[in-house]
Amino acid sequence: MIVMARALLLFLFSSFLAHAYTPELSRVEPRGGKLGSEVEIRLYGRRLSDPQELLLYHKGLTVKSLTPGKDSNSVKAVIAIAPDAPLGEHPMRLRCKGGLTYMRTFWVGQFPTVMEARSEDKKKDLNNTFKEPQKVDLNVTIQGVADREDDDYYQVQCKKGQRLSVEVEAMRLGRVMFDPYVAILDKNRFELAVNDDSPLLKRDCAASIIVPEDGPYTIVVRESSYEGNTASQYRMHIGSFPRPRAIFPPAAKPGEEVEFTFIGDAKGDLKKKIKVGSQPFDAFVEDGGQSSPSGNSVHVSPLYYLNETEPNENYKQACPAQDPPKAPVAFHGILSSSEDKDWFRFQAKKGERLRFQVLARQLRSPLDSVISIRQAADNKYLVANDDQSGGVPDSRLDYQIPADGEYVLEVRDQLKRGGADFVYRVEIQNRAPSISATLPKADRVDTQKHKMIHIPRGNRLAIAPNIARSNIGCDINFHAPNLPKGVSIKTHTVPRSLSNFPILFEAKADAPIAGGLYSFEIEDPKTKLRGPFTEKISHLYVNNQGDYQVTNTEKISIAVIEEAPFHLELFAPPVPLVRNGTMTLKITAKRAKDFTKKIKVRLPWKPPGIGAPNEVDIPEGKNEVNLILNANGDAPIQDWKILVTGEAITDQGTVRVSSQFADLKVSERFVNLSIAMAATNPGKNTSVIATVEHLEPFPGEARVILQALPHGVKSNEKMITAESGEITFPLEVAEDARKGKHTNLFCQVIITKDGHPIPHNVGHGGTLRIDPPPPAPKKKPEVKAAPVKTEKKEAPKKPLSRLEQLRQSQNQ
Amino acid sequence: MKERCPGNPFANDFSRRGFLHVGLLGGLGLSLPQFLSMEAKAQQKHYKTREGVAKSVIQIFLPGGMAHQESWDPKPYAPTEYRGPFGTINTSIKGIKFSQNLKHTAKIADKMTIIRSMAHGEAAHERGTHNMFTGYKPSPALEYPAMGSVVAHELGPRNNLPPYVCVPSVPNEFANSGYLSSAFGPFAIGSEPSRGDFKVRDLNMPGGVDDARFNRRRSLLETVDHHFKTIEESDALDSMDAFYQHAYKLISSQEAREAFNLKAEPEKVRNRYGMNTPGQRMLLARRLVEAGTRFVSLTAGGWDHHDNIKNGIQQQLPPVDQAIAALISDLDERGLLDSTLVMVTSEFGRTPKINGTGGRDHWPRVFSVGLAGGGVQRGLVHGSSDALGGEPEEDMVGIEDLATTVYNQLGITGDKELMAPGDRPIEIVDGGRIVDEILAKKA
Repeated sequence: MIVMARALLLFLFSSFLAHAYTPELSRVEPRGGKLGSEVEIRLYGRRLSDPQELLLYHKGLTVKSLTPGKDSNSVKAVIAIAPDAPLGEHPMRLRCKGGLTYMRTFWVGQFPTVMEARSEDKKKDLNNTFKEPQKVDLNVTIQGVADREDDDYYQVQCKKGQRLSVEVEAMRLGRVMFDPYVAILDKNRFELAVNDDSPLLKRDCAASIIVPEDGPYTIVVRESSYEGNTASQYRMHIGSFPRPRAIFPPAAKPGEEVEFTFIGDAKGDLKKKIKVGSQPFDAFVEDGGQSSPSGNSVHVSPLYYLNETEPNENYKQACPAQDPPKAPVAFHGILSSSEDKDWFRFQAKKGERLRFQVLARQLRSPLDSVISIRQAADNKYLVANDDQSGGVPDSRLDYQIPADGEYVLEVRDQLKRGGADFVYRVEIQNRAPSISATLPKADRVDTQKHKMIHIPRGNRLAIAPNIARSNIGCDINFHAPNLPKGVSIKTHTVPRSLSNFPILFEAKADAPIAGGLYSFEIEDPKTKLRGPFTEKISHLYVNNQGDYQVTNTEKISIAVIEEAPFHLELFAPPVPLVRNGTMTLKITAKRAKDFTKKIKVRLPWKPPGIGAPNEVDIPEGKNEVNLILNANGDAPIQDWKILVTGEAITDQGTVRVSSQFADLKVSERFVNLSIAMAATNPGKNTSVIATVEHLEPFPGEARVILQALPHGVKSNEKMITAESGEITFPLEVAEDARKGKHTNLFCQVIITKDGHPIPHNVGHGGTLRIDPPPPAPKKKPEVKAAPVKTEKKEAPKKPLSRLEQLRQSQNQ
Repeated sequence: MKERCPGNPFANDFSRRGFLHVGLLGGLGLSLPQFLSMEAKAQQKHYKTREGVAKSVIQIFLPGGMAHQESWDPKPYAPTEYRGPFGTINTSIKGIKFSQNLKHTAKIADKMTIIRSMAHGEAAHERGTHNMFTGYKPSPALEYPAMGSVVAHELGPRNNLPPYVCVPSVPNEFANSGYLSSAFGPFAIGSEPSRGDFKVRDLNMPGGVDDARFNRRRSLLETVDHHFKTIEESDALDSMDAFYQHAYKLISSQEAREAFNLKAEPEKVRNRYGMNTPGQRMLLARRLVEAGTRFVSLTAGGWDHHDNIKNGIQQQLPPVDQAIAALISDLDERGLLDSTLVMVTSEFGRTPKINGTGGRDHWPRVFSVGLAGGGVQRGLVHGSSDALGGEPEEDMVGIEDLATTVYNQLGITGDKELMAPGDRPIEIVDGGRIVDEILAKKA
């Protein structure tokens, strides 16, 4: 605390230094490089001043140098790609003194990169016609752009019997929505192979042929609807590499060595033995010294599994015929023809709550699975499922086994399709508890917003991660085994009823400007069950459609950055926030000398049942703002820790800091009120009666104000004590009072404790009816008018309820 | 009495005798389809068009769904997350407040009727838009005509001006003529009135073409068209003919052309509306109705504020507020307000509670509509939403009711049936009622 205070003092006397905050990295050029080479890349963006390091998520790349550009819009880096670096996507972030950039990707391939041929002035392509293609060697990776209505033609010379394969990385590059199409054409422009989308590569494409005769072959690539633009970049591998479409078995156990069959290559199936690690992986197969540019997904699980043995077309043939395995178990199979159905036999015990999960499309198989469970003895149908795996058509079924015995499981394709690559795995296991946490989306479209944790020196920043619990209800503790030097965290146990909670990061004033990728964990303090802190980076997201290109990681990017130009302090009054009540929080900003910009303040996390404005502003040049919390009638009665985060858009970029935690006590209201209905006519005064219900004693007097009165109606505030039973509000009703039924009357009760107000909003739904004046009586005008007047005078003495008024009027 | 299913000509009671009669007619050379067509036409509900109180309509449509809380129906006593980021402003209707951003309109609220209890229950943009343009919920079986097209069909052109004009372009697919002939579709001016180089396309003769040459061309075209008409029957040909007629009338009438000439407006007037998109669109709308256009439809801004409604409203609403206030006041000063119905509508309202990104999402269960002129009351708020702006509290008004009322003020009976393709008589509005409570002068 003393350190923080000193830092603050130092900070307040220093003037605001002009650093660049929130550096923006928009793209990396070139988009990829060759194994075993050194590549000079340029990182383009904004506010990329003072670059410190490239944070790389995978092994295999080494940064040799990092050089700032002439301005802050680019940075040059030289990276070495190891010969054994994993092929494919390598995510990276640039860390500058002012923060970390969004994640961008660099792609590693096995071939040298050739750029698409452009005219000298870079205004047009030189490969737009079949007759004048760009001639390239076999085994290269082209980097090009498929602009609007732009066909790009590449010609290679091939030998008869040779394999010619192409694979396009376009949507996977994650820059823009770009759905590519590719075709291999012969010299007469006949299509030998075409591909637009494939289950294996999603919207990207690949094609492969065995060359029928010596000669030139042309590859054409374009946007599938000719709707590309200048950002529609692609990397196209052209070579004699294998391109299998599936792998079998689709899963293995950790540590075992398995001979995998790679299915669907133009030359036929290929086999390779692989020693399996502990994590799911992409398997690559080599042929003729070349590898497929992208791998085939293999799931890794310790679950016992069986590969299917044909025939298993009906329940009688369900495999294995003898000694069916007991659940938990997994089955692997291929629906090899359009009419193929696979049946498996297993044993389960009464009461077992099993989950049947198909892994097919998740592993990039074309299968759209449907599963059903039946009794083995008589084939009696029990339960079935088509899709339930959130965004993919893989089946998932939760089922409680009704009796000990043998059961059969049928797997088929929803559209009755099949083929050699229709590979699947079905897992049958007890529903296991699991927990995980992730950083929430801060913006519907800008999916990477606030996913980097930037902690300004001598300041704080809070995050409010989302927690997912599956098959368990538990409290959650947060663990951060490693943090940047000088950074500490403050957090609290998350009650089981909550799915998010704030965590506050604090950086000492002398914390080094540093950062990196860190792994966090969450834990159930009771069972010690642990779960990962994951991050899903969505490179391409379309609102209402979802993600098109995603990178999943368990590494969170954190950096200590240069000082922010302000500190925030949150002051909560030392009285409770009552149900149906409000509380005014005071937020003050301690600004650096020259810093006057507006600061937007919001609560990154609100306790359940507590509402607040989305955002309040500390205006330019001001240092204070109030933020009013309100509690609903069912807000849990509990003590919480809350904080606020402020964001300022400075000339050097956006910077965010948080306040310290403040205590918030939510309690039951002290009083409740019910307002009796009242009715009157314009110009006719009346009273509203409210009955007080005391729930908690309170000291002294409380102010009661009748709110939401219609136009032309006035009332004075009243005082009540802990003994008051009824309040009467005389209403002054003007001649032009707004007629109608006004149903939103309520009372604001302000109790004062230790000099701090505790506002209550109670008695909602109070009704005041202002009816049009009754038609004037045609006769007997004056005689009866007098007694009415005297009654009016007496009325204030004893206020009548609506019911009494009606009774009285009936008696007259 | 058995209710007829709207739009279904087969939903009549056919007796056996009736069928025999049909068979007899067949023998006499009248086929069943022809007979049914005649039946349908004979049973078609027909009402004569009356003299309307409103001679014209200006439909100001705010696409995306404007939040009622941040405009016509603020909730100052609701908790902050419902109340939203803005305060309120007193209007010239005693006791009625608008959101603080409607400061100009608040001053002329005594010329308006605000309906705070509109509801249609359709939370998707296209469906909400369909409802508000046609008065019908969308049907997969039929494309309904927009109100402007029905008005064009029923009332026809006036003073050589197209009866239904969209400023600057047809805003959505539901603003078209639906099952009516495309001859009743909107005339889109095709240019943005707020641009300095604003010029309505096709209004003037091409360079080098004089009247004589133009008439020669026209006569040649008519010869060709006549030839086509003798060998082909098509709605497209008829409507092309109608388009030509409109175009000839426009080109040949100086007054009609002048309606589109915004530059003829004094600078002061243009500034009063605001030299921006909503301002100049509304000014053009006024010129058009003044000159004789029956129905002008225009859009202003985008109101789909799922995120940061504070910024969205602060940027979008002030110019629209200024323009609406200027339009209504200007019409009133010119004595045109009583004969011009101004409607400020949107797709739907927005959620009572502010969401996690500081916006409000789609909410069709209650929202507000602003009306002025054309016989509606001055200084009225009709209906109300509940304390959180989530449900109609009293006097709910449906889209059918609103459409029926608007048509009624134009002298068109909503219950009248128009003939859709396949000889299907379809009511102009299905089942709405005239909201008498909002009318000062009923047509």
